[in-house]
Amino acid sequence: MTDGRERILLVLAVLASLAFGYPVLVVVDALAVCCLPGLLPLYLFLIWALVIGLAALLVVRRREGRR
Amino acid sequence: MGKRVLVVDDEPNIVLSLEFLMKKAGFEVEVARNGQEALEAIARQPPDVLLLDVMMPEMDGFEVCERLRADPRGRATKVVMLTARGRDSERQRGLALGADVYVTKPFSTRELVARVKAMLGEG
Amino acid sequence: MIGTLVALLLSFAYLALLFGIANYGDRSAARGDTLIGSPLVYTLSLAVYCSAWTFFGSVGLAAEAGVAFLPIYLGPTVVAVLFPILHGKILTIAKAYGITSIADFIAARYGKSSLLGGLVTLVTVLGTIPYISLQLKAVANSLDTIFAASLDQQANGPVPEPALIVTLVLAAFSILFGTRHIDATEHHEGMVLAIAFESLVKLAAFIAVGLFVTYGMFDGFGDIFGRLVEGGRGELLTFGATGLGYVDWVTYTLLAALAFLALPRQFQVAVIENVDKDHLRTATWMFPLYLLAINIFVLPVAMAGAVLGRGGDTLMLDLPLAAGSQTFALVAYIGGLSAATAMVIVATIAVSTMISNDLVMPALLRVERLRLGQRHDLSALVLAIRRAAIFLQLLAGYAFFRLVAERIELVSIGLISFAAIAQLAPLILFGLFWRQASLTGALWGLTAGFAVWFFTLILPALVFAGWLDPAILEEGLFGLSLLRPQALFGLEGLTPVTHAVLWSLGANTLLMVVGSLATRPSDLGRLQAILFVDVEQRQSSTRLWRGETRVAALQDLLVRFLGRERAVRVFAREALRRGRSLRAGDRADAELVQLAERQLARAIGATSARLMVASIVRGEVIGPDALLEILDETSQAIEYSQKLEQKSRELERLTDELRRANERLRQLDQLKDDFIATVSHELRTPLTSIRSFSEILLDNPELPAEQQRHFVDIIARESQRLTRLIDDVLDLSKIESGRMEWEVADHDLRRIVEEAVGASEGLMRESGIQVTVEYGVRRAPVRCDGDRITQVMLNLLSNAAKFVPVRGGRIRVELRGLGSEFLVRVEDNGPGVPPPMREAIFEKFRQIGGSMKDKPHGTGLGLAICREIVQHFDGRIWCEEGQLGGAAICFTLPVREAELRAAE
Repeated sequence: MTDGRERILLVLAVLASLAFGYPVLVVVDALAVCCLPGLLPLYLFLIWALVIGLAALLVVRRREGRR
Repeated sequence: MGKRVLVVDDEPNIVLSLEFLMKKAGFEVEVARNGQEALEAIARQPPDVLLLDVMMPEMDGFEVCERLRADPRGRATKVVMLTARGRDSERQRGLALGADVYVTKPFSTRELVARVKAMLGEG
Repeated sequence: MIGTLVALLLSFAYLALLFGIANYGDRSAARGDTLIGSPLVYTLSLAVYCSAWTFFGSVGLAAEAGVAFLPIYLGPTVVAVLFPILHGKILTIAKAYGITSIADFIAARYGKSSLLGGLVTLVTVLGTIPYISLQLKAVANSLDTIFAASLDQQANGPVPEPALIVTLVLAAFSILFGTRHIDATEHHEGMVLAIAFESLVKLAAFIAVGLFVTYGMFDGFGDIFGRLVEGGRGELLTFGATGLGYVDWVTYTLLAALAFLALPRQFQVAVIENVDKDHLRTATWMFPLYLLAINIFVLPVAMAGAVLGRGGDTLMLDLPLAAGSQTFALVAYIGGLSAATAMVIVATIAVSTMISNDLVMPALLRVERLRLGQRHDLSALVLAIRRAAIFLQLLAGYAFFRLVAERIELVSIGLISFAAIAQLAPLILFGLFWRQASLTGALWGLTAGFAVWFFTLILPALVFAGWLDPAILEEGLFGLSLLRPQALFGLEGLTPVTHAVLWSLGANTLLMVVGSLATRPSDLGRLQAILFVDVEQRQSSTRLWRGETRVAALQDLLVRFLGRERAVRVFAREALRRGRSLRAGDRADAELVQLAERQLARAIGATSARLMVASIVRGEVIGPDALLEILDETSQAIEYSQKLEQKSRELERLTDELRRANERLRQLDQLKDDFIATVSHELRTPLTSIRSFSEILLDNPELPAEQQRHFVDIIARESQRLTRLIDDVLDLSKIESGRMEWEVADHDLRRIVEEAVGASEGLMRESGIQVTVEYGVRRAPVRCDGDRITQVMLNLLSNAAKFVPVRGGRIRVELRGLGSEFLVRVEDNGPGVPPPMREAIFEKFRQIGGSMKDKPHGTGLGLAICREIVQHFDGRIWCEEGQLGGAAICFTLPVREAELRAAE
């Protein structure tokens, strides 16, 4: 496993942490409160799915790269 | 009855000179232009002396000599090998295969005739 | 209505199925046929993370606080993304050093300290038992809910403590499938298979109930959501409803991430039970996907509860029951049961290993009076300790549930447990990546974190349970308001858990760093730190033993802990590997001592193993300097040997090249030798004729004049032949050695061809050969040495003349333009050259066919010289089949450059 790919995973983890937490959530919640009820959970689940998809893309491509 | 000499060489001029020399020395001479012809002549009747060129295309002198010695009737034949390649290793090989004399070309005609006569006990 | 009996029977049927699956898994493994070798099974076993807390607690929390349940899953999602980095390294270490548990891992990292191992175990036990009780409580509550709904309850009489029965069954399961081998690093295949199965069951159950509630009781997501908003409770889905601040939210996410990393049950399935490191890749995305899938219906079900005015931890059961569906209530019950049992089974097994290896055994081994060191078979003792530990944990969990937890929500117990377990995370993370992290730092950090945890979370819990004076919460410890457990040093406005986590982890980390920097680590500590942090580079370089012992002593030691059969097997395998027998009286070398310690560690943990080995090995305890020196030496040796290997490979390559060069030289030498022998032969042959006939003429003056003339003629011809040969040999050697003087000028190739044909006209007419010439160009400007190209032409013509039949010989010459070059072609109607020989005829003395000897004309060098000449002027020469049926020798010369430029 190369350092480069590990670094990409690390970046993904950091970005995920930010997207899941402060301060992004403040903005999303403000939107939800004013005009889009239900946006907050929708946002969280979508980001969640996105993170999973990206992680899958990274490790699956890594596997192909190795073979 | 005269002794028989078989001359084997692929160079026509050399054959011509050897034939002349041997006839002049009083031998019966037969001529072969290559190894195959030589074997055929030997099979008909082994000569008393075989003057044999080493380097001939297809079947070389070594092989002819070997076959001659393998034939029980050919044991008595005296073999003079003539070669234009003066390598020691070849000389050894020729003698090992049963040649009696190994002569390097070009040779002294008088000496050759004398040696053939000596081998046949004709002084 | 559901019969109580039906629910109980279903429970036991389910547990019986689990036994069956686990048994099948173990039997397959015993046959050498693993069923857990797939990344899917590995991922599902990781989902043991989702316990009853997930199954019941999340929904209960969401019904009141919206998305507040999510941080518990988002944290592990982030950790899962880091699986290849974090767990990749942990796995390498665990497999290299025979790690048996999280406590073993931490203790081994910090110098195989039994004190630290014991402390970690203690924290783990205290963090795990509430969690176990939480599972028991969930099972009991869900059973109660079903019983309460059951009309025939009275008919069956009071139920005799179903939670206790479940507890005992779980203990039996864990003991049966968790303590089968003494080697704790051996995989519990049956257990893992059963856990993976349970993960499938709980996911399927959750989704089934979710679908039932969403689409059976309501009209889909939109309907529930619409009715929630209609009912004026739309704010449930906003952040405000969570009752959390953003600091709380982030802290909970962090807490879940750290706990996920350090939970003994996660360590067990992710590290100890891992059979293939490659499975981590799949788990990296598939495990968070599982988390996402099991959480998809949390909000719909919770909102449905909110719409119907219901809440609490049994919402998953209440909703189907309210809708009159006993089937789905039972499905929910089984899902919850599977979630709870999975957690309990894995946790008790993992913690029992820690209790035996890191708490009880080191303690017993230290007690001199027991003389355990001299007991003959300790494996039975170790297993007994583990079994007792499992049983006691479950019993303690049950007691905790009965005494304390009955009135507390699932989520708060879960978070308190998480906060305790998370205290281990700094030790793991610093231990993995920071070489200076030392035993002192670890002890200080863990103690401080644990103390703060106790003070800020447990003390208040005890107060609420009525066992302590509430005054301490309001006035603080010793009446100091700075020491209020829920507002330490005046920190207020956070949830109690956030408050506790921030303080405990903060203290933990701070003291870890300070302690590590302030003190010099022990020798072994420094060694282990290097072995862990640099595990990738160090795996094979750990032969660090300088003490002295005999093979027999080591074997006895292994026999005592692993049993005779296994110990003998270990030594036999080692002997086989070394290719020589290990005699009992021999001195045990470092490698063997290490092997023994590693094997022992697999059974009783690194710490105890070290103690035991040290007890039988006489000799020096390695000093710090010696130790690091050895370490440096080994790494230098490795580096050196790598360099040496590289050098020797280079040398080998050079030798190879040299050998090849030599071989080429030898071949060249042979070629030269052959060439000289051939030249010698070619020279001697005409000389022989000349000498013979000269002597014949001298000795026979009486020969007739005609014969004399014939012989003289022969001498003359052979002399010519000799001259030609000598000319050719000299030409060739000049060209080949680069000493040829070329007279390069502009020429018309057409004129050269014309002249050559003209010059050989006489010879051709004499031999009755018919020559035809065709010119495709009027002029053929080339740059070359005209004499040499003429020589080539004459050579080709005489060569052709040699091969044509004696009667009706025909030669055809052709000159054509071919773009940037001119082609000359000389064909004859002779026998031709067979394809395999077409290249060879250009080599020296390579003539074909015996017929050549009839015409003592060729020297065998003509074509070789032609090739050299043509190639010198950038032309090509080759032989092909001619149109006349014989050979065609072709050569080309490039068009003069000036001419080419003019054409452009």
